[in-house]
Amino acid sequence: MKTILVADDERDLLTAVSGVLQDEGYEVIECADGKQALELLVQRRPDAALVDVMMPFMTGIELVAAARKDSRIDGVPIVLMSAVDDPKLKSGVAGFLKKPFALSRLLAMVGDIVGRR
Amino acid sequence: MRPTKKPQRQKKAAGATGQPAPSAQPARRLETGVPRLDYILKGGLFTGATYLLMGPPGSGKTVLANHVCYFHVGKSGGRCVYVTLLVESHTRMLAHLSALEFFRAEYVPDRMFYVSGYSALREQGLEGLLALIRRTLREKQATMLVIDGLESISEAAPDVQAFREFVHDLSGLAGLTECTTLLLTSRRDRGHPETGLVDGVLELSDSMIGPRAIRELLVHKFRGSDYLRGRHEVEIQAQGMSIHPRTEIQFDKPPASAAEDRVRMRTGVATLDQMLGGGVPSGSALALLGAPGTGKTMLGLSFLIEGAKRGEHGYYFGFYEPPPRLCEKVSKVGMDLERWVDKGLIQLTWQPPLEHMLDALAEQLLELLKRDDGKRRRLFIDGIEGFRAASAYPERMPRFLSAFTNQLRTLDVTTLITEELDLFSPTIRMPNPELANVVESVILLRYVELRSQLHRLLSIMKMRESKYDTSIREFEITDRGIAVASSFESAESILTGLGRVQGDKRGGR
Repeated sequence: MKTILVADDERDLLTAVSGVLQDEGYEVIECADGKQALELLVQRRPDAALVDVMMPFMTGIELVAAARKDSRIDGVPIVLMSAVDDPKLKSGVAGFLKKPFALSRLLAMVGDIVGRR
Repeated sequence: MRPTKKPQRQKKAAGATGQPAPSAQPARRLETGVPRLDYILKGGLFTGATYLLMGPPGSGKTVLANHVCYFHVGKSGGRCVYVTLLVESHTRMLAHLSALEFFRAEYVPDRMFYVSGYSALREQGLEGLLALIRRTLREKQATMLVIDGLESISEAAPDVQAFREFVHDLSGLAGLTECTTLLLTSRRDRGHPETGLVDGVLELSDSMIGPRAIRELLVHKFRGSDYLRGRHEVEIQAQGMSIHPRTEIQFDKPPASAAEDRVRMRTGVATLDQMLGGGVPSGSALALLGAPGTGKTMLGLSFLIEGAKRGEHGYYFGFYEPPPRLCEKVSKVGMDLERWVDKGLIQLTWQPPLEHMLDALAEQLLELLKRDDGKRRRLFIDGIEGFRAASAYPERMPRFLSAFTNQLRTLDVTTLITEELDLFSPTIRMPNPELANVVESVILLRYVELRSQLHRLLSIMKMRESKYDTSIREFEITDRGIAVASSFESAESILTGLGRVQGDKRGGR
């Protein structure tokens, strides 16, 4: 079973995304702040991570930068999610999802990244 | 024995050494960027202070808080942290905000940082949430903090004391770091503990007054400064939020005298000018009362055109006739209004009969006049009832009209205001009787039936501190304009509208 880390401080979105991924047969690791997300990336080495940009303690951008410097996790594909569309959020990541997004788009992107389509 | 404090003596001693006595740094004010909110607060928020913003869902708390934040980032280069707790999702909030002109996507996330505090609150309680806020403020070097959904914190608190301590700690943090803090709550009860702990309490309301939904702002408390008390109209438009302070409180202390010397302003009707002793006194207000069709608009426009011929700027502010129709209508009686409009000497402002707000209308008009630094400006308000219809509280009209006309005097504007009377009525009933009290002069236009003919009559009913012709004159609107004829000496009781030829007890019919 493929494992996906979902990190978002907004509970409603975290619950929704996790639920959809679980329904599709993924194992989901949830967390609500950037620092915890980085720790979980190291501990669990998921197949992909869906990460919100604005989170407490560490932003999604900072998390991507930290992950790229850490040889243990620099290969984990990270998808950034944000309500604001900014070109700089699209560099150095496996994907970018502008909120709100269609669930089909989310599943297609995750499927492509983890090779399950 | 406990030592006794002697502050007076210490102060004297400091002065005696020649050193300046210790003094506190005056608190800095922070512009909100919300039109006229700083005016209401007499200078804006205080830097590092904590404010409670109360109001039901839909009253505009989120718009107001975001408007202040984006302005703060743009104007002062500040950084804002916006913490939400079980309110609108960030995605939806940003989608809604993006339709407003103050929104800048490029500020997000570096300078406008939205974060949810709910997980921290749910898992770690108030202490965990406070730690999250503390750390985020430090990391983001925030100069402004918003907590949207304070009621969730109150509900999650184990007791009232814990919640009070949370607000107290937050307020202390804001003061220490000079981070101005807005706490948003949908509670409206001022008895809640948080109201006593913060530096200011602002309430937004959204209530139905008759069929109209009216948003208002009320400042309950504002430490460190005076402020305009009472309710003020609130509008949310494309620009964001704007507030319209109540006219009567805004101009409650008009300056004693105006700048221009007093002259007579001709009306364009020579006989009427003679009756008025040379014209309308400049910087005064004159009410034109009359039933529909008696010629009020014609007379008012004649006054503006006469001014334009002399190079004086004129403003028409009306509610019922759009400018093209107005130009066409008066062209039939020989008045070339369009020419002066094209030359820029007369400006026509038409307020279509939609839902307006009383103070917003007054503000719009006053701002229009303030932008013009010309001398001897003339204003013609066609239909005071347009203002009354805009008022959610008609009982405000007497004080509103008094303050509004005072402000026009202060601006040296000579104003004609029409008031519509009943078409068929033997008695004169003014819908806004207070108008006659706040103006210097009153002219009555009437129809009178005499010998099966309708005549138009004009009489000056009042002219403060000035001699005037008290006769009742007939006037006509011809294809060459307005003509005031000789006095109506042959008839009596004509102000009833049903004239009687002298000596004829049966009346003129």
